[in-house]
Amino acid sequence: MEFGIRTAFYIGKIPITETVVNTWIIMAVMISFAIAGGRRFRNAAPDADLGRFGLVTEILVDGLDRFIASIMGQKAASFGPYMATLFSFLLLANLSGLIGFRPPTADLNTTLAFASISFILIQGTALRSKGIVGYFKGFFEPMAFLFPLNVISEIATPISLSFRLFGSMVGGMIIMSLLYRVVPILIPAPLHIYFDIFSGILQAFIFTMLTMVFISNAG
Amino acid sequence: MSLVIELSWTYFFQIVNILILYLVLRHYLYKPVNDFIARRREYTEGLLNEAKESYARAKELQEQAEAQLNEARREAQALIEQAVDQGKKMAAEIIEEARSEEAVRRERFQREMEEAKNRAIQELRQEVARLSVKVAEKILEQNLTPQAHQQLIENVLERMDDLYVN
Repeated sequence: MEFGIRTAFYIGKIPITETVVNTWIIMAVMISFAIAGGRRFRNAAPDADLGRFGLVTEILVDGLDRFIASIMGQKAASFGPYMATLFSFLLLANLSGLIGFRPPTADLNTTLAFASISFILIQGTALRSKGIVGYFKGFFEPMAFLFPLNVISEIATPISLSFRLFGSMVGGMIIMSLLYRVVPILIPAPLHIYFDIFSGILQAFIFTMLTMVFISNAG
Repeated sequence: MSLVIELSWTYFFQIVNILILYLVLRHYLYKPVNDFIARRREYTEGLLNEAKESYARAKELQEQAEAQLNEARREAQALIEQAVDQGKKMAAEIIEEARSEEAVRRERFQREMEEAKNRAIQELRQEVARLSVKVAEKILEQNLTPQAHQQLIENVLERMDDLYVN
């Protein structure tokens, strides 16, 4: 059985995997929506009628903004757009299994990449709010000998973030593939609801939520 | 063939991908939408303030109008009372005038009556005197002395006075 990630093509010697290709497809969909949806808001009069599509766009963006602001408070102003991007991409990526894609999040490279960005944001926020001295002093608190544990705890954050999402998605994908080989019709349908829809939404939510909470706590 | 867990170039591609996606979405979606929401909030707050001001102004105007109306009512009431008073006074004057006119007329009437009576008495007296002389002439058929004649007339007149005047 083959659960590995296929290489779609090469640019020079660099392999482009199906993860990257699927990511580009999802990005293309999101960017198309963003340009189509955002265009009518640019320079629109405050009392302009933006139509149904505009209304849906506004509800999505404003809903995400409010949700992020409820967790991050004042920091939402600067981190909001990234968190909204992260959440919507993870959501579409996780749900892409429904249309037969290999979810980009079922690849550790993707989840570790996103977790790395989260890690940089968390550490950057801590550094900015505590200052260089305060930041490094934080690793020796409450007692100096806990320094190694504090470092491990910080590094564990991106690892746990990435492996949680990756494990959940790849696990679901493997189970679904196995199931399709045994009973290809009827039985997989309800399980898609759990592994792709429920688990997908939940994992996207958890990843974004934890990133926001860690950034909030760091500041 | 590749393993399920294998770090590769994909890691860097995905970092670049999510950053590109973030920048594009921020520029084309979040910024315009959030700017629009802020613009609209400002606009609706402006409208709300305007509405509040209009309401306050309307209320003030209404109070002014009510005050003016009350003032006008009071003035109208005062005018009515004044008119009623004036009317009463005029009625009283008219009555008074009528009474005094009536009194004057009555007085004049009495005076005229008095004069007429006196004139009538006078005429009657002369008539009686004439008649008396004639009667006396006829009855006596004799010549009286002027003194006797005079005496007789006087007596008759006195009796007439007693009879008519008193």
